[in-house]
Amino acid sequence: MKVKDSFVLRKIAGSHVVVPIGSETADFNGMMTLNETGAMLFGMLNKDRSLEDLTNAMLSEYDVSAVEAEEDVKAFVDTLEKAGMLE
Amino acid sequence: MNYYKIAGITFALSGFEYEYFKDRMKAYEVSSVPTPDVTVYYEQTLFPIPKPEYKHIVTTGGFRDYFSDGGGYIFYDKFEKDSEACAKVEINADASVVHTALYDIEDIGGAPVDVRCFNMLGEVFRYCILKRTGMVVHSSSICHAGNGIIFSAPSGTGKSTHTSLWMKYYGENTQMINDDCPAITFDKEIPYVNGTPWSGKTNINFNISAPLRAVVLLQQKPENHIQRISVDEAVFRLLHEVTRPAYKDLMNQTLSNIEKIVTSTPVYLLGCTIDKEAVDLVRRII
Repeated sequence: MKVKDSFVLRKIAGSHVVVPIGSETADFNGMMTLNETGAMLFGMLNKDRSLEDLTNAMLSEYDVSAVEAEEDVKAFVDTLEKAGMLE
Repeated sequence: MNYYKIAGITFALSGFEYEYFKDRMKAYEVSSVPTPDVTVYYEQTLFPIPKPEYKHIVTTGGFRDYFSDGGGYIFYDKFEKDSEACAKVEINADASVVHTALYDIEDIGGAPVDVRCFNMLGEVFRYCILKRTGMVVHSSSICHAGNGIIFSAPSGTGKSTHTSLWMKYYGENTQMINDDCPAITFDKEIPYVNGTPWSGKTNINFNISAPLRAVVLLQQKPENHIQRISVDEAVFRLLHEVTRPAYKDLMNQTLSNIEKIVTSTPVYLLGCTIDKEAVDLVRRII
């Protein structure tokens, strides 16, 4: 899976913000702020990645169990999916 | 050519001859400028505008098509689905030369062509300022005792009503800057709020500028309450009050500008009723 090109992730004044581009009307769906973990995962998803890729990255970056990492990744991907951010 | 200076940017305009247009722009007119920052050409076309050959990027709102020629910013508006275009704007990569055209669609339910022409230049201005020193923030803005304050909120919240109360009660040392679309510019990282000719439904705009001292985000509430909000929240809320460009480089520039505002200027959330007490709350914290 991969994030659509039409979403930009930027660190602004210390916070990670995802903004849709090309929808300058009143449609604000898809704008979100992310924590460090979310930003790392979102950044990886600029390229095509599997759930396993993301879980492995979580495990190497953070002190979490394999089960926790997998659950977190699934929940995060689910959020992106529901927001229509994945292609 | 007619020459104008808006928020520090000089424009040379060719073909913009409507009386309505000149009247709305009058306060920003300057005598001829040898090397204007931006030259804009306009023509009213007799026929619908053919779709261009450029690479299509995205369609927004069902009627506006964005294109890229590999550097510039190009958009065409259709008047109905799948029709030919009734407006074209072609801005070159550094936003120094702009070609525009309109096809009159008043007969088929469009706004008068002179009004559309004026509003179109307002859109061109947003690109020109983004490529240079700042951006437009949707807000009603005032200068109170030398302090620039912008009041921002979604349409219908009562921005204009709130600033009209400042004029009513503190008119002797308050001046409206722009009721809807002031431009925020930066000079050595210090933000300024500037008047522009485009002020939404009202014609309340003045060709002045003031250092920006506060950003106030309005919410209608049964009681008055003001609090300074975190940089995080300020970024998120301000993102709703600016144009989000279809082009990635301009979106990044927009985000950089928001960052500059929230790191240099306090941002407040004002829950308010429409009364003097709300004005006094803001006065106390400025």
